[in-house]
This record gives sequence, structure tokens and C-alpha cells, in this order.
Amino acid sequence: MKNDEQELMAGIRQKDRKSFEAVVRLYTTQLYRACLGLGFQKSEAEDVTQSTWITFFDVAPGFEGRSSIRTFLFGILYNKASEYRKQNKRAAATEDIEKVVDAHFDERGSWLPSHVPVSPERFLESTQTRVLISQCLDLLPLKQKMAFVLKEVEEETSEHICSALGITASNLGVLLFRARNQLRECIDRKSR
Amino acid sequence: MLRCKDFVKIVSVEEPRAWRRRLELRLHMMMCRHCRNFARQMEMLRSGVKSIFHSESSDAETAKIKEMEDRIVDQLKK
Repeated sequence: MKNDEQELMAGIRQKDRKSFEAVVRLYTTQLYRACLGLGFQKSEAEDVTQSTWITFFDVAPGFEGRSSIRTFLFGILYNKASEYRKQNKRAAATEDIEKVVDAHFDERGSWLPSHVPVSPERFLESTQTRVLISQCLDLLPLKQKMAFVLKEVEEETSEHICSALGITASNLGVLLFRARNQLRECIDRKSR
Repeated sequence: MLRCKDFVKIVSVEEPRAWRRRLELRLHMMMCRHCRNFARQMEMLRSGVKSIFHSESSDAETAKIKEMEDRIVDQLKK
């Protein structure tokens, strides 16, 4: 796998058309799906995927290969997605999740009865409902969502994610903390 | 003694944990049903989101993606 990737990258640096075509075939589905996961409508997802490729072709010959092709692509995707969101402003509901989490506990740090997590059975039903998860994901700010998707879905290493999103390890920690708790919170609430 | 509040904060971030910390978390989970549920929810969330992203595409979606790929590859030839 690693060797294939190195070969592909070498091809891309030499602007070899076959290598470009191979990466397009390899990653378009993932990119498109990620866009949908980030809350884009189908036609928007297509736009963002396409403009990700256009930028990739522009900058890839200079790519040094410090991250994987995939991480590199997701980094571009993230930039495209945030540009797109800025143009078509749709504010995500921002609640201060740290405060929300804190408010679940009494002064001794134990769960308040009104906020104990719902049972796994109930929660499971909700996590199997695509619509519900998508709705909850949609509420997250883009950067959180992107960090979460790269980490939990694409199973990228933290190092790669930081380089793709241009953030530090501690930023990433905060983003993931927020994304996870925000999502859990949202689904827990809807399972009650 | 770990409080529920601490448990939640530790479980929500993943950092390499010393064995002592891992033991504390385990002990806490044994005693506290709510935190056990919390930890379980976090796991479910992970697999739930993963299954959304990696679920099989419908034929229509596969066709659409293929079309998009072709279009991008075509652009390259220009």
C-alpha cells in the first residue's frame, strides 16, 4: 500500500496523467462522502469535491509527501468547505459545550439525576438512525466536524490531522472533546 | 478518588494514559453505572458515525460518483 502511494506521488510530481487519473478513481468517493457527512447537500458536495480536485492538481506537483495523499486531500477539502460555507453563510448553532458538560454535574462532581446518560440500548437505537446522526453532526462547526470525521471515520493519525487542518495537537484535543460531547449530547437529548 | 466529572473529561480526550490512570478509570466504571453508560455511548457514537460514512452506496450514487470522476478526468486531459 505504502509503495503504491509513493509511486502515485512520484507520478503526480512528474504530472503523469495516469497517476492523476488513478488518484481521482481512488479518492473521489471518499471526498464526496465526506462532504455529505459535513452537511453539504448533494449538489454542493459535488461542487466542493470538484474544486478540491482542481486545487489538488494545481498544488500536488509541489507536494512533499510529509502526509499521505488522503490527508493532503482532506486538508484541501477542509479549505474548500470553509470557503463554501463562508460564501453561503449558514450559522451553526454554537453552544459552549464545556459549560454544557459542566452543568451536568453537582458540586461534588457527580451526575445530576436529570442529566444522567440514557441507557446504551436507547442510545443505540438513535445511533442507528442515519437521519438523527446527520442532524446532530450538522450542528457542529465545520472545523470540529472535520477533525471528528478525520479521526473517527477516516482513522487518521493526530499528526496527519494537525497538518491537514493547520492546527496544533492541543487545538485538536479541544476540537475532538467538543465534537464528541456535542454529538453525544445531541443524540442523548433526542433519545429521551 | 475520581469524580464523574473528571471521568467524563478524561474519557473525552484520548491521550496516552499511565497504567494508574487506566486503573482509576476502570475502577470508577465498575462503581458507576452512569459513567459506564457514558463511555459506552461514546463508543457507539464512533461506530454509528463510521457506519454512516462507510455504508454501501446506492447504485444511483455510485453512478453519479463515476460520472463525476469521468468529468474530472476529462478536465485533466485539456
